[in-house]
Amino acid sequence: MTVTDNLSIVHLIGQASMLVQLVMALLAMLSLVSWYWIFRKWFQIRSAQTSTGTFERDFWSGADLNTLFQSAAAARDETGGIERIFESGYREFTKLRAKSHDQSAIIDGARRAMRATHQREMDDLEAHLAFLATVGSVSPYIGLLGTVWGIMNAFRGLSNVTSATLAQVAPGIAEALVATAIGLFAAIPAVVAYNRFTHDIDRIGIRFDSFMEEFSNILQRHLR
Amino acid sequence: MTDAPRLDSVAPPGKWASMALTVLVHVGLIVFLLVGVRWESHPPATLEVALVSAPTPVAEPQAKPLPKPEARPEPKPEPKPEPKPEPEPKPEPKPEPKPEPKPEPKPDIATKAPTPKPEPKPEPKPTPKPEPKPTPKPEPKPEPKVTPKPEPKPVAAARDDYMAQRLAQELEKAQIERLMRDDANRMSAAQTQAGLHEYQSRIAAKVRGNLMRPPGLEGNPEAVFLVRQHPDGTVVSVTLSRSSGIAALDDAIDRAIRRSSPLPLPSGQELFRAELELRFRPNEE
Repeated sequence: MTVTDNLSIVHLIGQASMLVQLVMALLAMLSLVSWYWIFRKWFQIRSAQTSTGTFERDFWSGADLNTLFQSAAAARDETGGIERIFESGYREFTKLRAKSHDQSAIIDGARRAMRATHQREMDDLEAHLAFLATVGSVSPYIGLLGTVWGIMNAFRGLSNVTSATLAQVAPGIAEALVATAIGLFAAIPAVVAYNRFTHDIDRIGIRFDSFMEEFSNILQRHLR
Repeated sequence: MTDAPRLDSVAPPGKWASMALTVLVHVGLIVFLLVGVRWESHPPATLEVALVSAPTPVAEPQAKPLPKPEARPEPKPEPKPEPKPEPEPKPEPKPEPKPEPKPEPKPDIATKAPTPKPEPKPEPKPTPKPEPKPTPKPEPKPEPKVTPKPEPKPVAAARDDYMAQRLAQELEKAQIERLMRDDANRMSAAQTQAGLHEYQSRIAAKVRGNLMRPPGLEGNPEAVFLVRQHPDGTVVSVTLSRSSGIAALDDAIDRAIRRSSPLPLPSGQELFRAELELRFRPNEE
């Protein structure tokens, strides 16, 4: 029978106006999807990091290029991006070496193949990051829209009352602020994850790049 | 065999795991919000007991609809929002003194809680608007002249044209409805809180019995104490949460609370509160 007794979160959401509830539902959906992609990307980037680490260790421990290539080609679906870069470069290198004797053409061809794979890998790693960025920047505004609307309603309810007390607006404002809270809950993890993932992906890209350069040098030495 | 690595064939790492984790995160958050956070649920935790010096309040819980001494102690024991409705009676210049103000604030709050906002709005609207119309008639002529007098309404309704009659009837009906609704509200509340009232008044009676009021009290300062007690009623601690402004009075109340140490226990175990909020006012004007 008292106002305060009914200020539970369920009640606040249930009492909100239609638009505010729509906003909350939208934000809840955004939050679900963004968390899903946060976890997906997290797993993907982590596995890319570990596979890059293992391959680099194998590669620089002096293993034979042919055996490395065969193992990479045999398990290309389970390997990481760096192995696929190596595989495509080495494949192009062996093919070209059989046909031409122009050293620079062979190296260039291998580099182009590696560059193409590199771009595909980076694109795969960066996929859906834009969604996280969008959620991070937009969902606070969506939540704010719901809050502003809810507060407008709460104050409009005061227009017919002779003596306005805080108790008459407080529940409306509280339920309106829930929308902002949900918006922030969706936005904060998305922003943090986005920044973290772009940083990680940049570092992986640098590792790929330096591997490509070093591998080109190795191929060039091979030709002589 | 093609040169291009086929990325599509690569199994997406942890698709189901991420879904499960996502659901887990949200379920965790919801559970935390529902269970972990106490949403303003202080009323059950602390019990307010009004220590008004008037000797009558002991009989309060049973006789609810009584006019004066009753109405005052009643609002106080009720949890928190009670202070809010209190200011409202003032703007009400209606003929009835006590029963009127109560219906006014209550429907506002009560309807706001269980039903959506739009409800309270349409209700009050019809009543204020029709009022000016029926009232003009009673005065001298049936001409529509504005004289805001609520009393002569019934006379006007009976005598005047159909519209005015209808308006008056509607107004009356709305008022009766409001009163009935309010009554029902109060009844249910009274039933659930009857035990609580009895408990409160027994505590109040005991503490009041032990209180020695310092001489020369002026004005009506209110002191609020927070009292923690063991399940057997033993007072654990007494803290002054709002001073009355008179140190001697604060001390006297403090002593009185401590002296009544095994506080009376409620009839039902579920009514027991480990924390009590005791309000004291020397004069119950």
